[in-house]
Amino acid sequence: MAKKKNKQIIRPWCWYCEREFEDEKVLMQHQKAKHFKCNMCPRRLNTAGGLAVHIQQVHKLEPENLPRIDNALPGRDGYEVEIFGMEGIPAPDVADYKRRKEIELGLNPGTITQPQNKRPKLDNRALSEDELRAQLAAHRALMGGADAAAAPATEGSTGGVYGAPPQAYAAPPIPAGMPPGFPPPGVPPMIPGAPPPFIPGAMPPPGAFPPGMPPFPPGMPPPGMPPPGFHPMHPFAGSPPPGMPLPPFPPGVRPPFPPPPAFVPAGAPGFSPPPASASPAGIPPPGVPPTSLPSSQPPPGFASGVSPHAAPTPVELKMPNPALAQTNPPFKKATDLKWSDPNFSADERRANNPKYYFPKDITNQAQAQSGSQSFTEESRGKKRARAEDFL
Amino acid sequence: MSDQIELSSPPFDGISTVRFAPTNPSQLLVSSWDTSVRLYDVDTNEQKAKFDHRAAVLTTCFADSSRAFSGGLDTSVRELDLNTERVTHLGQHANSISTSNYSQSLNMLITGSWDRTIKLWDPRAGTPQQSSHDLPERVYQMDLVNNNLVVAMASRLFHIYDIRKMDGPAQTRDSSLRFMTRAVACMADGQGYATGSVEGRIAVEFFDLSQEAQDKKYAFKCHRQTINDVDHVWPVNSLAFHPFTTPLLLLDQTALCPSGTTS
Repeated sequence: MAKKKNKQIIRPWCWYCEREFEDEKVLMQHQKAKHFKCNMCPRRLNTAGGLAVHIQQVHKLEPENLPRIDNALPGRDGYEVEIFGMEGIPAPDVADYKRRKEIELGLNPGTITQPQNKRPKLDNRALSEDELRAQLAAHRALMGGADAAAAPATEGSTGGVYGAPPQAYAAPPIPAGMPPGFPPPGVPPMIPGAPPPFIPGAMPPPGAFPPGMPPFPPGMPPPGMPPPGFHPMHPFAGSPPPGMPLPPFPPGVRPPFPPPPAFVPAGAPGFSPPPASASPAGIPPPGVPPTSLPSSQPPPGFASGVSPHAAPTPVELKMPNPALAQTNPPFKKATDLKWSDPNFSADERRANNPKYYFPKDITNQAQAQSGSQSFTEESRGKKRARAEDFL
Repeated sequence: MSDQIELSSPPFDGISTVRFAPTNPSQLLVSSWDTSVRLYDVDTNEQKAKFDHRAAVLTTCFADSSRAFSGGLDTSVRELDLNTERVTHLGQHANSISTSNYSQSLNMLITGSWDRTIKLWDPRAGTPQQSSHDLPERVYQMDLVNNNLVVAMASRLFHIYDIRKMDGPAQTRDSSLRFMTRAVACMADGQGYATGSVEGRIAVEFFDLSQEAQDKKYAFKCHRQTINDVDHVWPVNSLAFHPFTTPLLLLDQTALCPSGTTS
């Protein structure tokens, strides 16, 4: 549904060189001819993976000696992403492309990126005024007193998540008997600043949450929907009450961006958050040994829509050269070292926080080391030069 | 000296770098995690210019009182025209740009990145990127005095370059501190540099490798507090030498503070 709508505005485009095509058939032909063509024989393959296997098996090249993908933009010439036509493009790249497209076409931000905008409004219209009022009350209670004033202003803007299945918006009212803790299928877990999608019955009654929200004992997952007001990354709209831990996500809630095939799974286990995320001020509270911070695991799907870049999924920090890894020497007396990670700086951890994370292609790094590229990225409004222009 | 000015319209998030203009002490450039670089006139307490970026900005530096540069998580090196607020893209790193310095003698910008390179840029050239130099580790901080460029990296590594001969480091050193390097600052008189670690300690080192110069180096503890027999130790987040006299200014938590503090 959403895909079809997009097609009217956005034509199929090639992830490798950001060229547009009439339809996906032409796009696939283009990819075969330009990007998946073997340098050593006339053979054309269907995907980057296919090309890699072909070069390894037919031409007996070691995997590390594979040539970069031809005619690709810097950073997109690797084999890590499996592209087939429009399939498999990493979600952040899709979002970024759409955003650039909007600016280029002079459209209002969100026209392409949030095509399903109208949906929730239609749903709301079907509700009676009383229902709406009850939901508002429930929502206010849920958000706590501080946010009550700001919340109604953002109502109705729940359509902003790319990749959410359309039924999230078209969902018919769910019977009130639904057990708490079971999220309705496909509901995007968090839209900061905006109220959770209103689904009658999924909300607890207004009385259940007194304003100020103290009811959960630490560590206990909240029943029902994770309230967006809890999001610690949003210091202005709804910072968590002091002492409130991050609520783990109820099982089954998917991250806002379903990972495309062969893409790094969102919220991969082992991703550890920047310690700054554990306390809203970014400073470990006195008395809490910082050693415990880096080990606290975020819930899967921790990435949210807070960042302006449509919630890319941070990748786990890796030492570029593990041989140089450091260990902090032991202390002679009891010491609370405020930054105890010997291998990653506070800035690196913070940059990997979903609030700040900015996607960088790992393949870019290989490029930079070869030192030959001087790719100038243009401002977002301008059209990026095609890959051929670099040749 | 005792006066403290609180600037109006501060950034909304943590501050990553503050720089005073080399020629005009009232111009202050501030880069922030709120993705902006702001130019203030400290004397009139006015925000003169603001540059928005696609991601948090980690570093900024002046070329002169009308031009500056910025770099951050979006990996792009930008030239900022402080009068017209025009932004020129000079090029890119493969990972976040953590630090930058401008050499007045060579008229070159030097950027350091977590992609384990430093790059030299001539903003006026047709292809601004002049060179790229591979390093063993992620670059955390750099400082420049005369022609000596001190590059502080992860894994406690240090390279000292002579920026006129960038084909290789003039010296490679391990930090004399045993914890991660957090800050580095060159002495105004060009004799050496000071480095601070996350374990509240500062070492003062000298470029001269002769025995008598090396004998002068020393280290001391700071930014710590004993509460209930437990030592609480904060990182030295930033270091600066006074340009004319010898005292060293230290900052501890400012870089992590979400409120706008300039000191």
